[in-house]
Amino acid sequence: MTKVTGLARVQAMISGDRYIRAKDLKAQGKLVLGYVCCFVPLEMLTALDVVPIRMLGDSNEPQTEADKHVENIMCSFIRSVFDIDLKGRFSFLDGLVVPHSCDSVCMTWGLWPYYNKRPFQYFLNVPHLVNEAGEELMAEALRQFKVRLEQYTGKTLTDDALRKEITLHNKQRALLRQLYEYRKENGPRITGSEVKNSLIAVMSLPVEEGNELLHEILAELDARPARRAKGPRILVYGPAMDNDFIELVEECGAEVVVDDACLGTRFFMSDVNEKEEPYRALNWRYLAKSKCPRTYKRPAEDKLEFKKTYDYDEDIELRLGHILDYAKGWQADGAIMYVIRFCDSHGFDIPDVRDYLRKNDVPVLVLEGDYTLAKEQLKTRIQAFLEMLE
Amino acid sequence: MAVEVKKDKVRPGAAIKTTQVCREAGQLMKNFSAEAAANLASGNPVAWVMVASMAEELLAAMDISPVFTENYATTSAAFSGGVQMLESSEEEGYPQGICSYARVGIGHAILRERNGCVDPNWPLGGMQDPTVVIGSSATCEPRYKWYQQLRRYQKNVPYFCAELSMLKLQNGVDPDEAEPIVVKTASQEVRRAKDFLIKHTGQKFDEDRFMETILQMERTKDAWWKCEEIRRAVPGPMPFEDMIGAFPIGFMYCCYPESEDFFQKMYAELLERVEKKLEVGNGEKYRLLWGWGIPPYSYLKIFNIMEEYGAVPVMGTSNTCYCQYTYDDFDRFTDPFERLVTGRFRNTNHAAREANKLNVTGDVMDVLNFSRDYKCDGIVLNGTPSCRARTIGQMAAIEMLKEHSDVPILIMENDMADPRAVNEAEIRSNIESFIQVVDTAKRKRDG
Repeated sequence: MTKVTGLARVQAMISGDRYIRAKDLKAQGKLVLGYVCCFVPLEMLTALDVVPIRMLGDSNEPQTEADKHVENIMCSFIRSVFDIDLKGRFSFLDGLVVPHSCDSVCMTWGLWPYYNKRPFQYFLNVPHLVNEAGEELMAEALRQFKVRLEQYTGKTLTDDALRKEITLHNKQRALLRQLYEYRKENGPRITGSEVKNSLIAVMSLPVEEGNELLHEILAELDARPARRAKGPRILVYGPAMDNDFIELVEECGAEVVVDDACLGTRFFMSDVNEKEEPYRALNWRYLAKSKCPRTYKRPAEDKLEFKKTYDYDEDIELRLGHILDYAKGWQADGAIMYVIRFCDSHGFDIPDVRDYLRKNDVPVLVLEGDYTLAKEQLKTRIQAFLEMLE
Repeated sequence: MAVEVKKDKVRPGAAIKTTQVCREAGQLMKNFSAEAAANLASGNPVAWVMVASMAEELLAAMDISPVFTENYATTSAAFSGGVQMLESSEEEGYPQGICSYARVGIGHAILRERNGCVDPNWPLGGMQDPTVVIGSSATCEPRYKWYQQLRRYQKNVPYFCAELSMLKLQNGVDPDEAEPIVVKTASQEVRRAKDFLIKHTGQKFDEDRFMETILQMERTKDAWWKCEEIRRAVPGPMPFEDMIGAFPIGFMYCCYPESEDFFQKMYAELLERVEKKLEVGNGEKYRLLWGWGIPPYSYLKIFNIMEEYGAVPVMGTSNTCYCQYTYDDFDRFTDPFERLVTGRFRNTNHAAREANKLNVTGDVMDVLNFSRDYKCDGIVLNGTPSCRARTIGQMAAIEMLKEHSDVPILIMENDMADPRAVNEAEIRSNIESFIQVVDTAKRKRDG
């Protein structure tokens, strides 16, 4: 039987059971842990031969189990993850690692062990602020995480093993950045939805296999002919993004070329510094380098030399400059923000992100909605925006 | 013995209070606000601050007047005056689903920038312009995201944010394991806040005075807890709506001797009411617990409606001191920063050990304990859609509570600072139906 590889394998995973490989590994005796968000240092898991699997939702699945147990005034993405977990979709997982990412995730954590107790369930207390206290708390969080992982696995997490995994995960990040380079082309050889699906597939595989898949995809893209651009180039911004939002934007005639999203650049744009002491490097990468708006960056006047007047513009650059870099770097004609209802982190940032991009000549469409898309309504607004860009 | 409720001249939606001391709470709050205004007028600094930012004591010790922005939002709601602020922030692009306190606060800043000044016709005459703003990551995201957004409109106002997100522990986290690192880092943050305040306000800091302020805070909170404890009496001497009015005094203005005096006066009145068996409202037929959930400040009459049916909210878990504040080992703390943080950490996580053993949340543990200790016949949880931190988990709480208690539970839904989300008819209907359930359960229990 011919082995399915590259984008065909991605498609097979997306349209079928993306967790088949994880279930195989579990059957072979591997420990498989689920995680949410981008704050869990995956290197620490794989250094102990644990397979980390990113838990995502299903925007086509009515949240019937979640409806029985948890309010709907919360992020509908994490609610979906919780819902499909209650329905048994993640029953193959040996445990969960849930970071202190946002209030919706945090509050759902409070219920998870009650409704679905697993042999290992861990709350990783990632602080919110990037400052001295935040860095110290993160260091302690990583120290405690190491202890618990070692207790659970019965193995020792050595510095050498950790360094090796840092290199491996950095390799994956580099491959993903390479993938994104193709999106800078005038008619990108890979669509936004193909990239999104590739990311989902990679996050559902052990890191080495994810890297192998990425190599296959890159080789395929090398062989793909160049094509003409079909429409305006768009940056998408928002939480989650594993639903069909990118497909919807592309159906409306745009090329989604880059993103600032949880299932996107936030996962891989920054490396872990391999020259630094490994835990310090993990601390810096997973806390200070985080681009998620739930992380509060050091404000301008908190630098060692206190300034007499506050510099708002400097602070905006620190928080949001990377979005403009992506927009310029990938020649985006415009940006579409899709903020999930009841997402406080992204919701509070809407005026700042919108105005910052507009001030820098990037037209912006702001949309708010649920994880499950109201496609017809969104299509109307997206189409109008794209027409304006053209 | 039923007591005729004195009909004060009240604002629509305002609660009619039972105790004389709580009717005077508003005047004490006005005095604190007037002091802030006078300070600003004489060129002394004013700080915008939120509760649980570990700043109250610092500000008091450094003669910096605090303006509690969350409290402004609740007061605006009570005066039905915050709607224009809510609308301004929504027009700016802030989603309606985010914290209504923040939308009021941001709306105030937007209108202030637009008008060029604070409008004296705003509720309480508006908030005084801040010299500095102090926030933290404690409790929830809106607390630091809100103040982060204020900078759009207050570009030259220095802003400090403290990392305090672990002050309240999440489910399953061992408080004994967490305390040392949390105390260490939070103390550092309070020291940083102190340095920030010295730099940006020019005020002096005296460590002895800071310790005295902390000791005053502890005395106030212990006096407050003594009042909470006496509320276990049957009939209950004080309904929850009274304590809501007193909450800012015990929480935000806890460092002032007037606040300790207030709670001592409260205790004396409650003791008298207990001795004379004075009842609340039309008499106490049922005892209710206001379980966790922020009350609708634009419609605190909700409690008087309960009382119309003889159901008295004898205690609440959301606006309380939780437990005795000071511990036996407190005298070992010679460092005021560590003493402050340790006290706050322990008070906030008082139920964590017990909750972890039962595999429930700390909020559920409080509801279980208080409903038992205060002999409650019913529990009311209040969901506020713009506040995830105080709402998510209430549905699950019903399931968790039912494993340990057969007291009926009602979940209502409205909003803490957005009067547009309050439906009076629905509230009344919910309460009426619930009282019938409570009555049936009580009859069954009493045989």
